[in-house]
Amino acid sequence: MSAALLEVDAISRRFGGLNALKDVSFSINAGEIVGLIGPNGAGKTTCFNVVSGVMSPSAGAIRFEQRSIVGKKPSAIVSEGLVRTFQATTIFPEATVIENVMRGAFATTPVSMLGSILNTRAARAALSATRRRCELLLERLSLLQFRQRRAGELSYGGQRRLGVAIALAARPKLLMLDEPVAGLNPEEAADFGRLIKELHKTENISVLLVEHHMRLVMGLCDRLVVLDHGVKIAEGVPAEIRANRSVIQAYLGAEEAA
Amino acid sequence: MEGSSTATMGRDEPHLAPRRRLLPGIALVVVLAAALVLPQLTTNQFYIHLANLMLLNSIFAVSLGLIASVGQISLGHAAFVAAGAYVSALAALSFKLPPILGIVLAGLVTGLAAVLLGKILLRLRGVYFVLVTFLAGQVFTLIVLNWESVTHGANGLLGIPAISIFGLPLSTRLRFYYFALAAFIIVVTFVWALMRSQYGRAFRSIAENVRLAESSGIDVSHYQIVAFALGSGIAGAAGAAMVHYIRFLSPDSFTFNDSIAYITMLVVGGRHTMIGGVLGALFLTPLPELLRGFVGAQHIIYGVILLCVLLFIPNGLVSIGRSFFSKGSETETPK
Repeated sequence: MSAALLEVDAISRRFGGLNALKDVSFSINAGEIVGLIGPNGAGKTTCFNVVSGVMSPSAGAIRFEQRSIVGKKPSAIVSEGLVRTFQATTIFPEATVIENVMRGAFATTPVSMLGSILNTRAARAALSATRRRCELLLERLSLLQFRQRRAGELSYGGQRRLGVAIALAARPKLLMLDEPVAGLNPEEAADFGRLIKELHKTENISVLLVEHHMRLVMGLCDRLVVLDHGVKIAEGVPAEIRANRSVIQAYLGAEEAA
Repeated sequence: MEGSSTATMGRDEPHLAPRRRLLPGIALVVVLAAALVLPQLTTNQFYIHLANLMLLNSIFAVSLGLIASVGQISLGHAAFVAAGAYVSALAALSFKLPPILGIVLAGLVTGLAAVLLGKILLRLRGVYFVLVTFLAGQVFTLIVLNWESVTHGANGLLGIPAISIFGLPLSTRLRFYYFALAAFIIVVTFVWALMRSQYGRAFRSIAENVRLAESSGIDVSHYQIVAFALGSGIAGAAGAAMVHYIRFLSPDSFTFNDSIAYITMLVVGGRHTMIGGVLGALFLTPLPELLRGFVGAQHIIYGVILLCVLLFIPNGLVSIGRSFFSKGSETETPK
């Protein structure tokens, strides 16, 4: 069996005296959809930020395709193929929808910076190829008809989908989604789940998902990693996690104590 | 440009109808012809001097706009202008360096200084960046004032030579005008091409959403430094050109007030487009002169005009022209 796409090896992150993450290890194989779940304050977002390079770990190793990515700039990690979305700030609201995706494709547009200033034939060809690729992405996410709209004018669900389109434009091997359905109604959330599943298949990407929405997570993920108080308390397929005593205890701790 | 509208490229700008491409082109030719001919029709040296200041201020405002396009406002822009001026003036006075080379040297030195300062300022955003650029400007002025053996302190530098091109000294206002016009066109064309390129895309991404820009693979600190260095380098080179025109330089030549003036030009003209800086400079440079008749009230009227612009056209003068040009574009939006 081939090595994992992403290996998170005993990472810790301290904020002053607080251990936000402690010795957390997990891995993601190519083609998997993995969910990272846990109660509020469990360290999910910290874990996400550390893996995507926004924060550095206090200890531990992170390898992507067997190469260490600890200490690399977030922009460099993106170029390796590990791309994330954000909970709130998912789009460029003032730019047009197509421009949003073109910005997402920045690192994967094969154009020299000088060439793009001089607007050479090669640069124009590269940019129009990228534009076509971005339009295809918009089409796949049912946003093509809004391509010249200001992104801030899209509906909330539309903005969420645009956030995914921006991330996909960077050609991720691993797409990390930070609470992608927060604030969506149940119908939109279910649609979003189907969309992720479809993209996972057509784009051939692996997915790491942080999410509160249990139905979505259980239906979508091949495997779950559960954090509580910065520590991994369980890992397994959704059915195992659902039956896991310590997971139930973490979520419903008060009841257990009573 | 017109030649680029082949079948495949047409896709890229579906919202631009041929008529709307032609109109700005004609306008550009008319403005350029006027800029070339008009100064010949007046013998009033003051008007030509004013035109020179308008062109130089346009360059200062546009270069500040380049820095602002990554979402940062520099309160020390005049210090870079002054630094460029001192570099070229001192090189000319001490080492007989031809001013035209001095201008290039000034651009390189100030651009490099901005790279070094930028590395320090890198992690500062918003108000902290603004404060440090303000302090850097003040520190620069203090250095110039106190390093008397080199800068002659508050007495300033006298006898700075004029620019000379192929032996022709640009010692009259009219001759300098054509030099300034050429410099203006070069700078505006460069900044326009830059902002249209992938650099512009990166700059705007960073200004609008720095975290998302970073997670789109855009190296934020790199592009912030590029914008800061290019904007400061252009300002330094233009400051050098100006000092060979005014031919006197003291610590009072470019002060914090000038930094504020460049920002005002940018905001009044429209800070989101390059043309905004130009419009702001063209509008605000002659304004105090036009108000000279209203003795005593001129500052009040100047202030009222500024307030009115900010209140009623918050996106700047450029937005008037834009709403005029883009009429009908809503209906042309495909699908």
